[in-house]
Formats: sequence, C-alpha cells, structure tokens
Amino acid sequence: MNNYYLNPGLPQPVATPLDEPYWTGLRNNQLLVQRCEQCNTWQWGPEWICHQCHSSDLIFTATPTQGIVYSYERVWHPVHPALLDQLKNNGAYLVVLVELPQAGSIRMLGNLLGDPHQQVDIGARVEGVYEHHEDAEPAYSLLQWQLK
Amino acid sequence: MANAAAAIHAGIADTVVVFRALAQGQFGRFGQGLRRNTIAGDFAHTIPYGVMSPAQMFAMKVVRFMHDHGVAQAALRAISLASYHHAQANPRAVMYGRPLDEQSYDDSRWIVEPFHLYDCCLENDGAAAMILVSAQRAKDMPNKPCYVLGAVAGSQYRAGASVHNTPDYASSSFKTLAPRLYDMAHVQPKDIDVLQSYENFTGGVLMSIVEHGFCEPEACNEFFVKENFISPTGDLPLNTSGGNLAECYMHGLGLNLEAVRQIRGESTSQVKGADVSMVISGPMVTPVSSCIFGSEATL
Ligand SMILES: [Zn+2]
Repeated sequence: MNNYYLNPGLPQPVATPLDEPYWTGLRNNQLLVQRCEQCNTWQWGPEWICHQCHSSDLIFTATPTQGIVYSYERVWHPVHPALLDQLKNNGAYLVVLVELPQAGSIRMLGNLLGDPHQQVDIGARVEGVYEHHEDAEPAYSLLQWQLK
Repeated sequence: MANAAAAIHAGIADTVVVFRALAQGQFGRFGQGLRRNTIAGDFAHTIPYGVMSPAQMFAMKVVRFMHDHGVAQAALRAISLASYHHAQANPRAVMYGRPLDEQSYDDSRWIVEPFHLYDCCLENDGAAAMILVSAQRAKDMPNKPCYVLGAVAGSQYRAGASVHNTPDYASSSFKTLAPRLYDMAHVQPKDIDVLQSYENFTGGVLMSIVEHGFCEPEACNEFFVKENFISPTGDLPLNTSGGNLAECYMHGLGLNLEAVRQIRGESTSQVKGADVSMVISGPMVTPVSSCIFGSEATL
C-alpha cells in the first residue's frame, strides 16, 4: 500500500517548459513559484509574462510552505473510477485553497491531510507536506497541506 | 446574444440562428473526470488533487462567498426549490411530475459541499434554438416580437487567472458587466419582471443575483427564500420553466427561450404582464454574458 492522500489512478502531472522548475522543485522538497525580476510581483499559476508589468523576465523563487486556508471543499461524489473505492461508504476528501502570505498571497491548491470529515476553518494556518510518488513512471511529487 | 444582435445591427447578417444541441450520452458527460494517464499545463495543478469536475472547480468560490457574507445553506436550497416548483407546471421538463421539498433536499447526498445533488444541473440530451432578426423585420413575423433591450459579454480583471488565482475569487464574474447591461437596456433591477439565471450550480445563481444588484450580499438569507422566486406571486420570479436544474440542461439556451416566452405570455408559469425579462448566463467562468428582453411597450 502507499501513503498517498488520494488513491492512485488519477491522471499524473507532467511538466511543461513553463512549469518544469516547479515540478523539479517538489521532487527536492522545495516550493518554487514564479516571481517577476522587474517588479517583484509573485505569480501563480505559471504564465509566460508577468501579469503586473508584462515583463517576460520571470524566475522561479523558493518560498516557505506556510499558508492560510482561503477556501476549501469536501468532495463526496466520485467522478473518476480511481476514487470509487475511496469514496464509497460515506467517504470524502478535502481540497484546500491556500494563500501564501510570504509570496504575495498567491494561492496554491492541494488536499488537506488528516480526517476528511474534520471541520475546516477559513483563515486556519497550514504548512506544506511533500507527497512523493516514487513508484510512478516517471516519478513525481505533489504538495499537500496539514493544519499547523 | 450580444454578437447576434450586433451582427444584425451592423448589417453583417439579416437573420441569426443561435442554437445549442447536446448529446452527452454518446459523446461524453460534462460531470465526469478526465480519463487519461497524464495531465500537463494548468490542469496538472488541480486534477491530481481530485479537482476535475465543474462542481469541484466552482465549489470553493461559493464556500468563500458564503463565508464572507454569512450565507446559509437555505439560500441555495431556495433556488433549487423554485426551479423544481416551476418544473411541475411544465410538461416538457425532465423533472415534471417529480417535485422536490425541503426535506428531500436536506436528505439528498452531497456531491461536493456546499452542493447537494439538487444544487447541480441535470445531465441530459436536448436542443434549443432562437432566431434573431431586426426589429423592423420582426413586425412581419407571425409571433409576437420580443426585443433585445441590452446584451453584454465580458469579464472582470484577471478573471481567467489560472489555478484559482483570480483576484476577486468569490464572484460570478458579473461585477463590471452588470452596470453596462442596465445602462444599455435603460432599466434598473427594480424594473425586471422575471429572471432566468443559469444554474450550473445554485451557488452561481446566488452570486449572479447579488452582482446584478437585486440583493445586497449581506441580505442573502432574507432574500433567497422560495416564496420570493415563485411565479406569479414572488417579487423576483426565477427560472420559471424549471431551468437547468429541472427543465433541461441546454447550457442556458433554454433559459433564453423561457425569457422570450414570458414576454409573449406563453410560459407555463407566466408572470402577468411581463414586459422586461432578463437572462443571466453561465456564471463563475470567463467570459460571462447577460441579456435583457422587452416587449413592444418597453421600446
Ligand atoms: Zn512584473
């Protein structure tokens, strides 16, 4: 068995030239997100130009995985066969949208680890947990969240 | 609708047919997740976390809106109950003969919180079409004309920002558009006799109605009650054919047909003397659109 939050079988992420540094960073327990070299604006998801000043001078910058729950959802109904077993018999899973105050309050999306039936409070402090899928081909990593 | 009206006004077209046809059974259900081994690009940042269906993509906007303004689940329920109520008068409705009450709504399973089963649009096949011509030509047609008083399409600042990073997140994306619609149509929210508001999910209707100025965000719990939305007695009769929840999910084109029926006096839940009839199309995406129809008396 594995320690993944969601059962295996969902489409697995593949890097593109635009977001490759992010995925490589996760493999190395590092969160790298976009920042503009010209105006210092943080940006997520990845784009080719800065949304603030339109410069193409964007770099991937390391940032701490300290966040605040901005919104969340508890999913009950499976829309993919990989999650059928996990969600039958009153199963659910939690998705959180997390703001990173140390990175211009960009938002990252992930799962909230722990009891899927736990109460979730908007504004709660969370920290990142790297979830390494070593057995995937190719191996990849996700960034999950847990309450602090 | 805005494109069709503009094309006729500019002389590019004499007649425009706006149509929609859905055959989800054969060609794929919108409510299902992607069946493939890998995913790249924007969706690589959401699908591996189990965010892949429309309900899952939109629920967090609604959660945040309800949190910010203290909106109770009963507000969403009222929207669903109104659609099902009107469907019982409409023999064409998929949910005709299948009424919904508060208890059944409350007991229904969650799809993704805050959406119960009955907060979600139907998945069905169907087809719908509208014919637009100039106001001059419409006078020669056999049916009572229904006039486009205003039609807009667009969105707000960075509404398309990826991975849920739209700055104004808890929004149906109508804040900048609605004032332009009212300016164009020369009407105010208080002039609207009947409203069709696209229910992909009830939470989108909630925010659409607020952003079109019918209700302050802090007043939702008082405004979103079933009685307020029932034709003909409610202050704002809503989704009077049963809409996407209970008549037929036609990507909102069915709502436009119903808005025209109201002007013609042909609805199965007719608002008496309806002269100004409004449609708010699919919320929470980008771009969005809305439209106001009027009878000859409004010209
Ligand atoms: Zn910049």
